Parts: sequence; C-alpha cells; structure tokens
Amino acid sequence: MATTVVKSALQAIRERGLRTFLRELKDDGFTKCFFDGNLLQTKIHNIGATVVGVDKFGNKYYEKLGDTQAGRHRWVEYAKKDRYDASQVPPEWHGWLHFITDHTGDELLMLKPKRYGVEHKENLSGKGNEFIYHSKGHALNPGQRDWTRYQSWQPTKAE
Amino acid sequence: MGLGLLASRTLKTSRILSSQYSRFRPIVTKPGLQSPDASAAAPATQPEPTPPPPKKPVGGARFHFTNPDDALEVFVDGFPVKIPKGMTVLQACEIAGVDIPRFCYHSRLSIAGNCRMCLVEVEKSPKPVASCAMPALPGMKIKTDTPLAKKAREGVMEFLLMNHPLDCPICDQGGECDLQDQSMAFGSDRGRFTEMKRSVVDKNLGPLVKTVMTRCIQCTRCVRFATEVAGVQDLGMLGRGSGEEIGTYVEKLMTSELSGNVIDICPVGALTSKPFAFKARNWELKGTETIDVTDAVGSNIRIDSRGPEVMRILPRLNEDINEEWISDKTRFCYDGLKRQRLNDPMIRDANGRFKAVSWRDALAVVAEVALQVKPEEIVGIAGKLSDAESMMALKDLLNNMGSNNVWCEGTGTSPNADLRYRYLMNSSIAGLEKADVFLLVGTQPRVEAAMVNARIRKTVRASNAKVAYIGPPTEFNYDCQHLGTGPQTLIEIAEGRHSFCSAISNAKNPAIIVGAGLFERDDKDAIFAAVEAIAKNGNVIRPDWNGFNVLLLNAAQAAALDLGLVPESSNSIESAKFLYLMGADDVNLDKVPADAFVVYQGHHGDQSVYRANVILPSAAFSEKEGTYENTEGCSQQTLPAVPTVGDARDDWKIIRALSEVAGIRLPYDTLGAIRSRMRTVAPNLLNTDEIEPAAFGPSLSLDCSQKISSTPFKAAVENFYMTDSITRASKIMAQCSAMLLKK
Repeated sequence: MATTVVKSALQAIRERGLRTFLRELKDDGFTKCFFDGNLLQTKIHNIGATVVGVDKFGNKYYEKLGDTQAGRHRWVEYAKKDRYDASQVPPEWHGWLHFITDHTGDELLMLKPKRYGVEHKENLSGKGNEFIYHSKGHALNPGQRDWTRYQSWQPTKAE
Repeated sequence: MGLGLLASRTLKTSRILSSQYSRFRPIVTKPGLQSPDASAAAPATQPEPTPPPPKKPVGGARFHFTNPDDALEVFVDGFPVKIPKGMTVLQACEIAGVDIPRFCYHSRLSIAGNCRMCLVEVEKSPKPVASCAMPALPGMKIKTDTPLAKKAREGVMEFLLMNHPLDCPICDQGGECDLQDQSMAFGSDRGRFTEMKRSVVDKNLGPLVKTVMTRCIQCTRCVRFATEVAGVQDLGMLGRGSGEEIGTYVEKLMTSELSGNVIDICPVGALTSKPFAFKARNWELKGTETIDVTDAVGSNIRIDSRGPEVMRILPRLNEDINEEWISDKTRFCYDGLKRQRLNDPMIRDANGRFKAVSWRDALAVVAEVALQVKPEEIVGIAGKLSDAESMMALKDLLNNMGSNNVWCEGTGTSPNADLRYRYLMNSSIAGLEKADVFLLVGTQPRVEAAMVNARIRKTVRASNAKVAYIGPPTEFNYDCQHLGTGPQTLIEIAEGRHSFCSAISNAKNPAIIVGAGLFERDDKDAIFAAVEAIAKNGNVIRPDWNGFNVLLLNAAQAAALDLGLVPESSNSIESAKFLYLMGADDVNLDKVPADAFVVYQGHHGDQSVYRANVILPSAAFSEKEGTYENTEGCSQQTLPAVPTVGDARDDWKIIRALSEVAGIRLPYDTLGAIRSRMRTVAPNLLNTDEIEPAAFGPSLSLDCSQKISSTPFKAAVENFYMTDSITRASKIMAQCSAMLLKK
C-alpha cells in the first residue's frame, strides 16, 4: 500500500512539477495532518475508497465496501481542514452518511423544495453574536419585529 | 351541595340510624331502597327533612315591594318564592335562583317572546309556556327541570342551530356567545338536520358594527334596542318564516350615538365590533374596571387589554350612571390611545425643531424659566381629561410659585366655583327619571352626554315627560319642543311671559338642564340668574327634589371646580410669560404673547403641542390611577389597564418632580399622600362611587349686574365623535364623523 502511495506521488510530481504538487498537498490538508491526528486518520482511510459525491460546500463523501467494518464504511472528509464539525454536513447528505438511506445527497437534492427550502447553515455557536442564528423574536436579531404597539407623534410634521 | 351529601349528613347526625348502619355504610343515597325496615323506622324518628338552603337570586337580581299587599307567592321547582305583582315567570325563577335560558328576553328591553328558549312547565298548563312573556300568577307551580321542559329546550335549540353556521372558531363572539354557552348547557348532543343551511346577505351598518347576518337567530334584541333605547328607527325585521332577516329597510347606516351597544346585546355573533374584528380572542384579554373620561358622565367601563395594547372597551353595569350602555365615543375611542402619542420629553431648539431630551434636561429647562418670570405672569391650564390628583398638584405648584392663575379649560374665565350646585347635575342622572318636565337651556345632551340623553329618553318613553329646549335647532331622538334660540326666550320664561311657564309650574318634578357651553359666554352670570329665577318661580328646588342641573362637558370640570381651579384674573393668558398646559388642547392660544414660554404636558400630540417650547409626556386615562368626578358630583377612580408608552410618566409625578427641580418641593410622594392633600380641599373627591349632593342655600341668589346679550346659544360640541385629544387622534372616530356626520 505504502509503495503505491509513493509511486502515485512521484508520478504526480513528474506530471505537474514539484511546486504545484506541494501546493495541492497543502490545499488537501496534508500539511495539517502532522498536527491533526483525526485528519491524518481520515486521509489514511481514504486510500482505496471511492468518492461517492461532493456537496456544494466541498465536503467529500467516501464509501469503502468490503474489508471495512460495517457501520464505518461511509465517511466524510470536510472541506474545511482547520475548523470542521458535523453541522457542516448539509441535510441531503446527512441521510446517506448516517445510513438512513442509500440515496446519495445529489439524488436527494432533487427533492428539496424550490420555493421555501432554505440554504443549509452550519452551527456557528461560539463564533460571536453576529454569526449565530437568532429566531424571529430574538432581541439580537437585526430583523426583529417591532413590538411597539403605539404610534408616536412626529414633531417634523409641525405646522 | 349534592343531595347525596345532604342525605349522608342527615344520616350521620341521626343517632338511631348510625347505630343501625355502623356495620355497613350505605353507598346509595336512598337508604330506603337498601333496607325496607330502616326506611320504615326513619320517618318516625327523623325530624322533618331539612329543605335545601334557598338559592341566591341569579346575578344578584334585586327587587323591592312597593306595596306589601302586591306580593304573591309562586312555587319554583317546589320552593315557594315571594314576588311582587306583575313579574313574569322568568323573573320569578331568577329570584328563586333558577337561571332560565333565554335569547330574546333582555331586562331593559320590551318583551318579544319569539325565541322560545325560555320554555318552562307550569302545572295545569297543557303546553310548556314561554316564561319571559307569561305573567306570574298567585300559586303558580313552575317546573324548570322536568323532562318536558328539557325536551322543549332541546327542540328549540335544535331549530336555532339548524340555520346557524358552525363557524365558532372564526367568530368574534366565540367564547362569550350566548348560543354557544346555552347549546352546551341546554342543547341536545346531536341534530337531525341534513339539508343546506340558509345564508343571508350581510348588511352595512356603518364603521362600527360588523354584521354576519347568517349567524342571526332573529331574537330582535337589536331592533328593540334601536327603537326603544337608542331612539332610531333604523333596524327592522323583513320577511317571514325562514326568509326572516334583520336589516335596515333601505341601504342605510345606523346613525345612533349608542349603536355600539347592539354588539353587546346580540346573543350571537351576528353583530360584532368592526374595529375589533379578528384582532383578539376574548379569553386572551385582561379586563380592568375603570371609568370613561371622554365626556362628563363618567360611564363605568371595562378596558380589555392584551399586553401593552387596549383591545376594546366594554360597559360595566352601573344603574346610577350608565345602566349597561355606553356611547360609541366611549366604546370606540380606544384606537386614539395608540396614535399620536408623546413618548419622549422634547425641547424646541433655536430653529424651532423639537429634539428628544432626557427628563432631567427637560425639567431643568422648565424650572429655570419658571423661576425667572414674575409670579403673576405664570399661568396654568388643566385639560379636559386631567384627573383630580394632577390638578391638585398643578394648583399647589403654581400657588407655591406665587401665581393663582390656574384653571381648567371649558370652565370659562370666571367660573362659579363657590356654590357646588351651580355646576353639578343636582337631581343626579338616575334621578332624572323622576322628572316630568325638562327644560334644556343651551345644551344638546345627545352630543354632550349621550348617556344622560338616553336617561331623558327613557323618562320620556316611560312617563311621557315633556321636553323643551332653548338653543340652536337640533335633532332629538324624542319629542322635543323648540322654544327659542337665545337668552330672550329664557328671559321671557323667567319673567313669566312665555307659554312654557305654566308647564313648569304645573309639573310635579320639573328639571332644568343648563349646558356647560354657556360657561364660556360673557353674560354667563346673567343667564344663570335667569335660570335661577325660572327655578324659583317654578318651585324647581325643593327639599325633596332639586331640578336645577348643569350638564358639564368634560371629565375634569367638576373636580377642577371642586378643587378651586379658578383663575385670578380673566385676562391672565394675554400677559402670560410662562404657560403650563396640562393636557389643555382646546384653549385658544392665539392671545398668548409670542415670547411666552409654553410647557405642554400631555399624552397626545394634538393642537397645543405645536405652540409648546417643552413637551413633557404623560399617561392617558387608561394608564394611570386617578380620580374623576362626573357631572352629578360622583367621584370615581380609574385604574391603569396598560403600561405607559415610552418615557411617559403620571401627570402628578411630573409636577412633583418639577417642583423638586425648581426648589419648591411639594410635600407628597405617593398617591395616598396627594389624596390626603385633596381631602383638605375637597373631601368629597375621596368618597368614591358616592354622589355628594351639593349643599344648597336658597338665600344665596346671584346678584347680577351683567347685561344679558342677545346672541343666540351656540352648540357646545360641534362633532360628537371628536371632542378631546384621544378621540381626535382616533381613526375610527374620524371615520365615524366622516361617514355618519358627513364632516
């Protein structure tokens, strides 16, 4: 396995040049692997797995059937390498990822209602009040409803 | 208390039975069924069975025997009841504490007897009888819960529900609907009607009453109300049988100042409030029992609010003032409380623009100016809607500053505040029913005080009282003789040259009602002297009857005059340098000098606010606790129903704070303290809900040096629907005056 990895890496260097290869390595998060064991494990896992789909955020969904343990044969590699969490998975992929359905997110996206289906937003708790979702009546919601039940007199209309 | 409980109590107290039943307790309430020998023993040993305690009359129904010989006894469900002669079976049942279902019967309207819901069984009568239309006869045995009566009610209810739509979830009456309640209590649990329901075209009754005529059950309460109480022949019954409809005969709006009351008397949701339609459900509302201030009657109202918002206003029963009606202005002015509100203290800057400032800055500016001007140049005017507490505080503040130029708008420049009977309705509103001749001088009770007018109409209908008026020709909703337009006619009557004099002198209880619009006239004293001459000649004022009445125009007037808010000089407003307007919007400010500093303290940006230099926002009547005295001298208190808007404060608190900033601290910090200050000035203001009759000295006749002018009397109220800052801000009232008065 290790030899195939080295071989493919060497081939890539030969085809695209060392600089491009290194930049791609960085973009794919391989440089982060040294500090993030979780990501390293995902990367190792990815070897030999098939990419089932990529959602609109760039999260990649892998599947590997055969020798993997049942229940651990579907996983996601998040697009964000530095700050990732499960809320970044959009609802159409959630079902596939958690073995609720065998339909991939691309297939389920067809069912999304056009008129009122809202865009998925990741959970930004702890990121500051301006990022967090606030419900309609929340005091921090910039678009909150006006609860004053009277009209005040406007002095500009004077005489 | 159930019968079972009663029976077990009797068993417990009777010792013989308890010894018998010591081993086995009876579960059923009839011990005779369980053991025959026990039942045989019981009647012998038990004292006579204790009758269940008599029920209380329904809704606190009151009655009094004018003549003890007129009492007769009937039996309601086996219990004897003593009632006066002439009562109906339904009233007898009410006194016996049995509530009879009814739709068409209303105690203040004539009896129609067409809904048939009040059927009861009467012994020796072949059919169930409609109890509302059946006079009770001596010894009548009325049965209200027999199978026959129950079946009759179920049948009537089934017929009523046949054509009634099942739209209770979207009906504004839902939750307070008589039909809903009574079908739950007395109706059958199923109907047999499978055909199509009838539908009826809705009628347009104007901007106040919404009609859904399909819901109508033809009780004709509204028709009877309109013809009998409101005195307009607008509503009527059309068609027969299933085609029967309530409507205006031609496309016509209901032009009555009491039209809103048909909403209350409609037992179903056929007539509902148009401004309240789909705004709230009645179980969401918080009721606050308070007082109306839009006229001087002081009608008892309930303000229904949801959160910070007044949702509707309903009448409260007060037999002495408004019975159970209120005028449309009272009922529908509430949207004025939500518009044009002053919510921040403001100061006019050098460019003439208003700028919102903090209370501290605003009060500092006012106090600084007030301390600079000479004391005689300080003038204070209380508004129409001011409560007694704030007027007391205003007077104390200005007196402490050295000025005594403080008065209430509408009382004129030199009011007669010394003798209470000269500004009160001395025969009281309820007492007007005893009068048999009315002389209205310069007043139009229909627009000035609709509830007083309803009382006069009631008297006219009940006893054919004679009514005559002096003033501009107007429409009355009862027979009324027009004597003249001006003071000439008044003098003719006073000198005995008029043909109406004999009517007054022949009358048993003559009543003279003088309008408060005359306070503004220059020859006011001469007019009052003439009226008192009429009263003297006609023997209007006697120990047992005082028919000399003044009908005031606004809620603050009586209390202001009681507290002595009388200007020191009649032309003080022309020389004013510091003018404090406490909600005074109907004062003519043209004569105020241009360099005068005007403070406006009030709740609405109405008319005077444009002349103000500083605006101090205060609470409206629905937001504060205050004392108001009505035109008959009965003081009543308002209660806050909703919170104040924005940064507004109570009137008396603003004046108290201003006094502290100005360095002349008023000695009261609480409402209780200010009321005890009021007690020293006018103790009658603290005896709430009580009429304090005016002391009358017949020797104190008005020495009149004034020359009576020949200018005819003017109408005091031009537009019934818009009289004060709240009603002028109201959209509904603007619609009313546009559609109903064509103004």
